[in-house]
Amino acid sequence: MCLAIPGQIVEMSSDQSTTALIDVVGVRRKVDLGLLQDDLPKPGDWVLIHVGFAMSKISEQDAIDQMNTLRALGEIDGAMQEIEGYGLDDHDVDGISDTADDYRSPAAYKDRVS
Amino acid sequence: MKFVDEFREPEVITKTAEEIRRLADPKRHYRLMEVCGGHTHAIYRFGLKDILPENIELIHGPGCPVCVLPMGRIDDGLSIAQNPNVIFAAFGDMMRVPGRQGSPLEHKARGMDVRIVYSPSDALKLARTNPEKHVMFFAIGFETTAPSTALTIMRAKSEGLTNFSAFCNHVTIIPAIRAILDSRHASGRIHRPRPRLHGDRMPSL
Repeated sequence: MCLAIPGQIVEMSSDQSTTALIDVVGVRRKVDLGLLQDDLPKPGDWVLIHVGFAMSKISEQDAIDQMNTLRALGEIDGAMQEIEGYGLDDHDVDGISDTADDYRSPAAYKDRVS
Repeated sequence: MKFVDEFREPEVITKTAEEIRRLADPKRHYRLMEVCGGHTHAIYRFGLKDILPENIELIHGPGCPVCVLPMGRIDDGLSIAQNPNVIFAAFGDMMRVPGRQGSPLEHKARGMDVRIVYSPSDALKLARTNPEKHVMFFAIGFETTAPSTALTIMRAKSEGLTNFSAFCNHVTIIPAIRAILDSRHASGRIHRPRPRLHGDRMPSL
């Protein structure tokens, strides 16, 4: 619950305008954008996620730095566990990846986001 | 293996320690305070305390909302959830926090309907999918977490859901930091000048 996790918006939800599908190093979950409704991010933008809500827009470089910080602090497993936990059993979104081993590799993460 | 691998990253630690030594002015004495137990844990896990220069002093701060939650609050929440029609929903961080009659996890083992959620939105979803039950979200966190709880309550209201409640245990960090900075009685000494903090390590959120 104490983590701020960077993710990239893949697509806006068609049914709810303030929900979006977000990719965090291959794991995709729905995240609430309601706290940013005055300046809604769009697909391709990066956001900082906390307890299932996008808290702020960030740059791609900030996203990489934040992920590297989480990795350096040994918090990456906790971060991915939190992301994977969003949505309870509602994990039927397309393109979902349950094999997120590559998130442990900084190089793989950089390749993925660049 | 979790944690063991992190212990075996001497190059990261050595590089970090060298950078800190390079930046620290030997003529100064630095007092740095970390706010929450997660930081304290990281400091000890990586052995940072022992590799820092002697003129950098680490001071443990006021604690995070989970660490400093009065036992009575968890007791109150669990007391409400004794009602078999109530679902107790909380972040995983709360599950092992002890109340007088045990933790939420221990209550779950005794039959209480306790659910771990990673987002307040998921507690709201529980309310939608369990209309015959009342979902009590044990809300906790700093200023950064409270807006998510507030928005979830607004969503519940706009949807007309009447079987969702948030038991508010949010705390704000600014008054705690201000009290520390304004304190003239730090360390139990009377008339000691206010603690001279040169930095703090705020929670990531």
